[in-house]
Amino acid sequence: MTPSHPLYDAMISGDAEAARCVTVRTLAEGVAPLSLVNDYMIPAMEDAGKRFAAGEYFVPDLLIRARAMKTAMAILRPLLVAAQIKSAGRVVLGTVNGDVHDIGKNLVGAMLEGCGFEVVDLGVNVSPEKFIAAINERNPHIVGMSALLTSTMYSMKTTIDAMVQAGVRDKVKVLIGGAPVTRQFAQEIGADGSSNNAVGAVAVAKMAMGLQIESTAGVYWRTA
Amino acid sequence: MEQNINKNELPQVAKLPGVCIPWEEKLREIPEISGDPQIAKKVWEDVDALGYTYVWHCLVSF
Amino acid sequence: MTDPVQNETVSDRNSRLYDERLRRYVTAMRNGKPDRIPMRPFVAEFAAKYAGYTCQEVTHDYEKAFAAARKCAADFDWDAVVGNMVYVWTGLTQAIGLKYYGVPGIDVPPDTGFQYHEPSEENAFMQPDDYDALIADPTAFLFNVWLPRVSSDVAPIGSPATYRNNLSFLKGGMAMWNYFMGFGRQVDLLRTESGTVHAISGILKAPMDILADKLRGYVGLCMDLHERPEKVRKACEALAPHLLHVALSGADPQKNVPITIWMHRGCVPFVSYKHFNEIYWPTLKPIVLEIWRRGHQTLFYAEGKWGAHLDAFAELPDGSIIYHVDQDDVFEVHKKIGHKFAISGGIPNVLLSFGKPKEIREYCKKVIDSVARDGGYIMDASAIMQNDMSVENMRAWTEFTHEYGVY
Ligand code: B12
Repeated sequence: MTPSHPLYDAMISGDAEAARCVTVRTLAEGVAPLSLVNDYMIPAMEDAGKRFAAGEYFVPDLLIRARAMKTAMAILRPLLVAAQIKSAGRVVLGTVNGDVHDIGKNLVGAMLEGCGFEVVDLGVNVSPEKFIAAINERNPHIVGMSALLTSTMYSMKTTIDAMVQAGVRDKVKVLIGGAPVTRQFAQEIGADGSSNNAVGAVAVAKMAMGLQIESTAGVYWRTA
Repeated sequence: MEQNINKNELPQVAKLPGVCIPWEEKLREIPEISGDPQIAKKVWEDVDALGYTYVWHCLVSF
Repeated sequence: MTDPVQNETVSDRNSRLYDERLRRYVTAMRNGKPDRIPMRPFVAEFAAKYAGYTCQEVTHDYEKAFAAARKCAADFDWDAVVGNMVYVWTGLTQAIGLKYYGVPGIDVPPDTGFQYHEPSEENAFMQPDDYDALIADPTAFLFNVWLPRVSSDVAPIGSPATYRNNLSFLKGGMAMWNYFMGFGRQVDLLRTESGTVHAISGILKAPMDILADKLRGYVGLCMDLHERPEKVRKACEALAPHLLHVALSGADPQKNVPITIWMHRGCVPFVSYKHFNEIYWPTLKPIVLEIWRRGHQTLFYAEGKWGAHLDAFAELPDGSIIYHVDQDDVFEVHKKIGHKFAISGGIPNVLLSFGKPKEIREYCKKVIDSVARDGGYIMDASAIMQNDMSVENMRAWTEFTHEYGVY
């Protein structure tokens, strides 16, 4: 069932200005921030993600919806934090050393955020040291790495090895993705999970948090 | 059919490809050509095209 | 009986090889069946690694890049290569003051390939209100608005002239000239030193791709497709004749090797079918048709997945393009358009870089048995080969193509 609410509609149509206005107005009417997120924003982003996975939506459709989502989130995030409401999980996300491709990583970040995760985006060209520093400083549940080049995908292994060395590997679940990444590669380098699309990325992040998921299409999760 | 043909043709543009400063514009600055105007035109256009090549390769290739 | 080939001089050998390879390569590109499958690997940083150079050396010093490509061409029995597939020469980009490149050994580590840094949406080199100026006169827009924004040295129109500004044009112009002249020499050297064909000539980008790549940025373009699609279409129409002109000005006068279009973002999932059908394709197709009318083929270097648009490509005249497969299913592509166009690539880079020689042979056998069976196939990797490509695998792949690729 699709929830009927102007915020849901603003997200679906990708209207950032409407999303901002509705959020401000609804909050003034006394609706709880968390209910706005759970009842309208997450369903809208999930819907967009499903359509993307089904080939009905394209990257521009997701970007436009992500922009509306981010506008509303900018207002809601501080309120959620003040009320000490926990996110679905904290994810540190980055494109690995030597690689500047970030369109896919940004989509993954937007989908995760839209689905209730807190995302710390380290950007592109992220060295193992930077990932480790972020683990120590931000205490994430999940580290997500992206690579688009066959020449940089092994930076993911280097980063995982460095995490082991630094003694932080067991503090987090490691998820990887990007066009050249295969299930076999994820297994080989000791990642916990991977996915070849943004919807699968949310699913595998939920698995990492021990949450229920609907479908495991395009998802790899290590078994024990 | 008619429509199809049109769809396969390049649109007309105001400023011609290969040209930065058209010869006609340069010509207006020249009081009089005593020699062969064709040579003057050709050389102007050939060299002008180098400027065009420069900026378009900056965009497309580099 | 003496083998006529036995006593030939090196130069005779190279000219014979060149003729054989050119015939083989061109026959396959015209969708015909040559004596064996031609091999045309697009080796970029692999060539550097093979010749013992760092990424900095080949990116910043094009003579080294040329030397590396020639060394590969001499050592491997390939039919065609590109003179410098790394292509960007950062000496030139520095002379112009281009801001968008990360230079190996300066901005990025010496053995990382150069990087193109796309600015954030807010800092895009072209802003939404610049559309009208671009549409009115693209060349003037590039000189007067774009260059000052992408170069740290070029002074904006109306601001005081600077030493750096003046130098940028002089150095940039002369450096570009040097480089293009060098490329010309490289084509000759490939022929005379090892009898290798220069694989391509002339560069094309789709109007919408160039708008995304260098002007609005991809995210900016996505927003524009949503908010001002009409402007996007008009801008693509304004760019098209210029892109055609640039492509033709670099084309092979002999009309043997194709102009290459590097196709980035018109595919699934970057733009919707609607935007492909209404903007991307209608502003690209006439360019390809005109190139064909002038007697040149276009190599569609279809990066990513373009399988959803094969019907559109099939509208083009038989033989007008060579379709290069990246992430598409090469067997499906062959079924759908193999009767119209030759196909290249489709051998996954992950397999070539990290697979075992045996796995590579098995996969190539499958491709040769089905896709290349009746000719019209050129052996290449799916994507550009960087320094992760293994030399051992390269040898195995080349040998297998020669052995098993004989018709
Ligand atoms: C756009 C693009 C660029 C842009 C990047 C702009 C940007 N800001 O990202 C620019 C122009 C900068 C660029 C540069 C280069 N590129 Co490039 N690029 C591409 C292109 C066309 C699209 C990539 C993309 O955005 N895909 C779309 C997104 C949505 O998909 P995605 O990234 O796979 O992400 C999805 C999933 O993988 C997954 N996912 C992604 N990350 C994560 C993370 C986690 C944790 C999870 C769970 C899931 C997940 O979810 C995402 C959403 O569904 C591809 C070709 C293609 N069409 O695929 C080439 C490609 C990747 N590039 C390539 C190359 C060679 C280069 C260059 C070296 C070229 C050069 N010589 O200049 C440079 C290298 C720069 C560098 N050091 O990184 C090659 C790689 C070849 C190889 N051997 O691997 C490709 C394949 C092109 C080709 N066919 O040759 N490129």
